[in-house]
Amino acid sequence: MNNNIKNKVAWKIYFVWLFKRIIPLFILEIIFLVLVFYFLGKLVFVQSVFENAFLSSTQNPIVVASYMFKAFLGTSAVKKVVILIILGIGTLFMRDIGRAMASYISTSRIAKQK
Amino acid sequence: MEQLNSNNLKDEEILKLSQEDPAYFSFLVDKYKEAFLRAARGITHNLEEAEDIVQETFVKIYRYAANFQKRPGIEFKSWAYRILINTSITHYQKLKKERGNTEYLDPVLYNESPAFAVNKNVALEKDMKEGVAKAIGQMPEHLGRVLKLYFFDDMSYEEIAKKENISMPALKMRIFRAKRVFKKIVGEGI
Repeated sequence: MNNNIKNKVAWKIYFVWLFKRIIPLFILEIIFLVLVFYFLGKLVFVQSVFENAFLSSTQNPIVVASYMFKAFLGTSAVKKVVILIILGIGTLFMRDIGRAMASYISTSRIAKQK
Repeated sequence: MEQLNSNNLKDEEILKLSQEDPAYFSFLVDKYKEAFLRAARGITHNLEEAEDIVQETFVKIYRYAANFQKRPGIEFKSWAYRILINTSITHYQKLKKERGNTEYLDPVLYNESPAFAVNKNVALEKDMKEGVAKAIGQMPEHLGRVLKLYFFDDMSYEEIAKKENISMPALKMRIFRAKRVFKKIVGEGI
């Protein structure tokens, strides 16, 4: 009976945390990513970069990464900054997804405790 | 998280950590759920309602943790109990509106801890009063009298002390003893 309370409280607390701490960050990060991608799209013809990467790679991820890195080094300073911002926000986004998942797993374990 | 020994941490620290990782909050739930449930059950006399109140209380504690952290010098325990009592009162008022007649016990019986200093707005229902009067009738006269003055006549401690011609500490002790006797009688079944 009391563990029932613990389970319910654990999930309620998880969702309070998710909506209070994580979802607002997700929304902000997505807005930033969309804006920066939009800005990047005006500077670079992204599709051709990926097409070239695909053609030069024969689908080997190391070759793709190498091509991307060379393309990055060869680009202008403004584009480099925009790409770094995207990578930064992308990293934060992935970190928050990781936090949400880790916390979900912890909460599931707590809720399963007898 | 699992390696964490919650015994080394104060409640306040656990609450703070739980803001970053909600799993920490389970330590507080483990520590207080039984006591909260007992207190809520003592007020509502209904297990389901008590469980609802306890759940709501924990969620409020988590949600308003920032308010607590802004108030230095206040102990987590008393702050948490205050939330429990306020939640019980809110719950009671809501139920009263819905059902019209809800039987809750008067706070006078639940103020052993300072955290239970519930405001007097918690109303006694008529049948509750009858039960209390019955129990008071079975108590030693001097104990029943002080409880009655406080309970039915709504007199303050100061007024009762004056009327009984005793000091405040003596009155508090007498009321404390009266409540214990009262509880014993109620426990035996009135």
